[in-house]
Amino acid sequence: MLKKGKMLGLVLVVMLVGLLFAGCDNTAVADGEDKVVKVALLLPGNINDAGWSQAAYTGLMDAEKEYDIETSYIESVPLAEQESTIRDYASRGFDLIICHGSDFEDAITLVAPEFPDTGFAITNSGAKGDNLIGVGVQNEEQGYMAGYALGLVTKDNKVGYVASNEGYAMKRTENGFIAGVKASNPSASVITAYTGSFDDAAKGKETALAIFDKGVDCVFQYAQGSGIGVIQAAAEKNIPIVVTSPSQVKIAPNQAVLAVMSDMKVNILSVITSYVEGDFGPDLKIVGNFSTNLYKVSDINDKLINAENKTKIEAVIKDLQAGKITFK
Amino acid sequence: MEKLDNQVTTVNYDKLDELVRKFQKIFNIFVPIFAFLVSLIVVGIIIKIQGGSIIVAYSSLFKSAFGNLNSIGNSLSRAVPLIMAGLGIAIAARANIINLGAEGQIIVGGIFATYVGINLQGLPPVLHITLCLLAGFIGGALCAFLPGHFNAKHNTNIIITAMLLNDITIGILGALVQGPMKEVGGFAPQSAQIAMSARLPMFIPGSRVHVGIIIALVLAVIAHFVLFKTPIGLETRILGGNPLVAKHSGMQVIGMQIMLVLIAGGLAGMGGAMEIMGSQFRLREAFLMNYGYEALAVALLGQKSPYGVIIAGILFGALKAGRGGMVNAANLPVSFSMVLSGVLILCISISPILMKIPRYLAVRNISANR
Amino acid sequence: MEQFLSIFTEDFFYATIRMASPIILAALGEVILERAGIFNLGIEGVMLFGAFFAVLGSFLTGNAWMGVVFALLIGVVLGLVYALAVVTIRSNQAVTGTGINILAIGLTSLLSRMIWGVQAVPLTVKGIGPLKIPFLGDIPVIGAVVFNHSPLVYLAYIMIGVVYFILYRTSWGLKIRSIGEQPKAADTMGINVIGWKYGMCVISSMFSAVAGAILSLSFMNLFVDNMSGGRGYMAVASVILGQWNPMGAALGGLIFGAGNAIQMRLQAFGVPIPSSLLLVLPMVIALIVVLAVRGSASARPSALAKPYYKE
Repeated sequence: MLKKGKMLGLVLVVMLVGLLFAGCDNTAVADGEDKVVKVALLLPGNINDAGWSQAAYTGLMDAEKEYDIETSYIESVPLAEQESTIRDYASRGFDLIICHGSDFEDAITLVAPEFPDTGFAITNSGAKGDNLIGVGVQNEEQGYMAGYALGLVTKDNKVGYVASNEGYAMKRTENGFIAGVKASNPSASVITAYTGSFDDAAKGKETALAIFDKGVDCVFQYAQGSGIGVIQAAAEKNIPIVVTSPSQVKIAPNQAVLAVMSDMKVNILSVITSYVEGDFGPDLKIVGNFSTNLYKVSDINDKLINAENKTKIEAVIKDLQAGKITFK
Repeated sequence: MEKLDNQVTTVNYDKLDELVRKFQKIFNIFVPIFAFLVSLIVVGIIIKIQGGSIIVAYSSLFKSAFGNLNSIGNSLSRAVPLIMAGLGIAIAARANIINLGAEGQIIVGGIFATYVGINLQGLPPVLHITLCLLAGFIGGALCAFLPGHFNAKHNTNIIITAMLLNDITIGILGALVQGPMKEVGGFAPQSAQIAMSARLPMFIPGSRVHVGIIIALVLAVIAHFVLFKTPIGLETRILGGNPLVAKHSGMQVIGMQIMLVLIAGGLAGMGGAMEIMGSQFRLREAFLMNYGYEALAVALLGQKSPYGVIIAGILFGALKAGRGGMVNAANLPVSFSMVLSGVLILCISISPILMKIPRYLAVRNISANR
Repeated sequence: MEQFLSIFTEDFFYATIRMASPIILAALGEVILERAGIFNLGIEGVMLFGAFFAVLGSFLTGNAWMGVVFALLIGVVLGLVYALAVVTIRSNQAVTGTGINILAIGLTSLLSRMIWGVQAVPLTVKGIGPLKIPFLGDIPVIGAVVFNHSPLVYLAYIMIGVVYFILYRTSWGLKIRSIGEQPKAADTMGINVIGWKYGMCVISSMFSAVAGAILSLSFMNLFVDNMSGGRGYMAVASVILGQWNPMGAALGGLIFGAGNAIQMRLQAFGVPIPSSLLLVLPMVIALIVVLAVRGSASARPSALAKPYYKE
């Protein structure tokens, strides 16, 4: 027994020493002449989550087509690995590292000062630093638009909101949604339900059916993968729904009231542009909302929205674009 | 089997045992390496199907995990909770108790440590850190008590109770960070940051590895000593080898079983505490998702030996730290890392068949020398 | 209180029956297996594989029922793999099961990405929708609640009776139970213990795979990553809740189904309980019941999870 312990101990020591030696040939990545900007995108979820992460991934791919950049992304970065992942990308010589979501805030503010030559950006956050910018995302506007439309659509004055959990973006969207419903239909009440999952589509469907059973007669989903189930439930029960991308309209073509999509390409391009032009700094503030074309409304369904209401919706879109509707 | 036994009766038992042990020692190291290599080959095949280069993929994995001080720090700091929870699982597994509750124990440990870390202010760091670690241990042990108690006393399946508790603790954590423990004036579902005095210091300049790794190493040495050098350790191993013998030799089987689960839970809880105190500094939902389950792989890959757990833990930590580099190099979807863990656990779980070889070799060796 | 009672609508019972069905089907498979002395935590993974291959089968052939056949086939394969590991190699059953579960999440996600790429919305295939049973479906209330489900949901409930009958009324059932209680005695009686254990692994795995197909083809008509969502674990818990009896296991499945249906409706009420706690309500109920039924744990097959060594 003693021998075995010693042997393992020896292996361990050798390994640790090896680690330290490996650490010695620490060479900074040389970033020579002005070549293409290397952009890395860190996502909290899957690139096919039908929501938050997928929007950013699509945005990055669109940006790559239009701009002379080299891109790289990583999906489903767990909270515990945010810091190490950011640091890994920074030390591999990426010029610009974009973290998608307020969850990354702690990690990115910690790592950014360690790599002064790298640009860092984080969406849906107000973080700032010499080489770090926060890209505000006005989640409320997306919710407001959906809420406003559904306030017009509802007949029994019961509007539903299904989200994945009570996360930062989901809660902000919810607040905007409630404000939107109140704006178009003050007597309507909002019923909220969470699926507790980012990928359990069946549970999303059941959750939606449950709130339909409670008398909800139109719904908005902000529930990533589980939201697919919400759309299917709406299609099955013929309940009007606001979706978050034009492709989701295809799941419920007759029930989709409209699509409020977030075109993350806008955010990503503005970050890249300001990085290339050297605008990075504590004073820079990028905000994504209707006025910057982050949010777009499409696929307005004439069968569910009559001409009068359509005018109202278009007016609200204009107001949002003009920044006339503000949130705390 | 009968054939072997016939041969055995004609040879010296002591000599056979000695040989078996000698071969087993080699196999204890060989089996995990074998399992790891098989997993690498399986993932290699996936990389090839995806059209990536295996060499590029694995070399970038290595570079991102051990390429410089920074990445080594990443690997080690990821390894800390894995080692802590893995140690607990390994100790309990020595007595044949599978602790699948580490996921929940980590969470409760993290909750307790955060609470102490935020609410006690103005303490000297050494005291504050000790209190936080203790709180983490107590939290983890508390979470392990219910499954452990009912398993020992009433033979209630510990796997199910522990897994149900894992889910329940996730719910509790969510409710806490959205309610009572939410940062005052904050909007995001997270707690305030813990006091500076509760943070684990970092000791290598240019790297973020914190003293948690040293605490984990020390605990592993202690665990090794207790397991192999003390009567309690011997009893634990007897309990795992043959519970009936344990009962008849007058051991407090039920008490032992409960104690082992509490220790396992406590260590996992401390792992969760260290993650908060050394890396994340605040409580958030899913702050260590799936680490509890991966710790099971760590414990098994480490052959339930405390030193083995350290090596396996660092290996898994390195995989986490190097994932980004590898994904980019080989154009892999993230799910490959789940495939890797899954194959690894399966390989390890079927390795008992390999552990039969030592005995076979010993018998052959002896009969050849006869 | 009145408001609470208003939860129990027709739709509530309909949803409970539907949501319970995959858990029940998987639990029934697990009952048979545990009765034969083997514990399989990996049914969560088998379910996920089943869900994926069902969609793949429907996608490739354009026929949803071929999807079920695909699920059955992957069930057979996984059952054989599991039997090889735990019966022949005698590996630790909980650990092997965990390995299968983790592998399933990774591999199904990987395969779906390889086959269908990154889609804007998951690719939909032909599913197996509700089928109203003639006459019975026209009975007021009961017809709508009970006799208007997908054929696979009916299958889950029909299997309760079938499994009960086989276990307690046939010589096969006797053999299975004796293997789980006294494998050595069963062996001396001339029962091929190893063979039966292999068979039970395969059959229970097929149950779980079809349970996965219920999720992906009956509830939905698509596959999303990790869509089994812990229902396999609920099935394993249901077996303990139900004291290794098919009826009891079905009751366990219904507890989870009803727990979830209640939880979702409570959320809609806006009860002052945090949503994260409501979401784990089914687990809390299950834990309480598991701990409460401990008294009669004698129903547990005595040779459960113990590797069998043929003399």
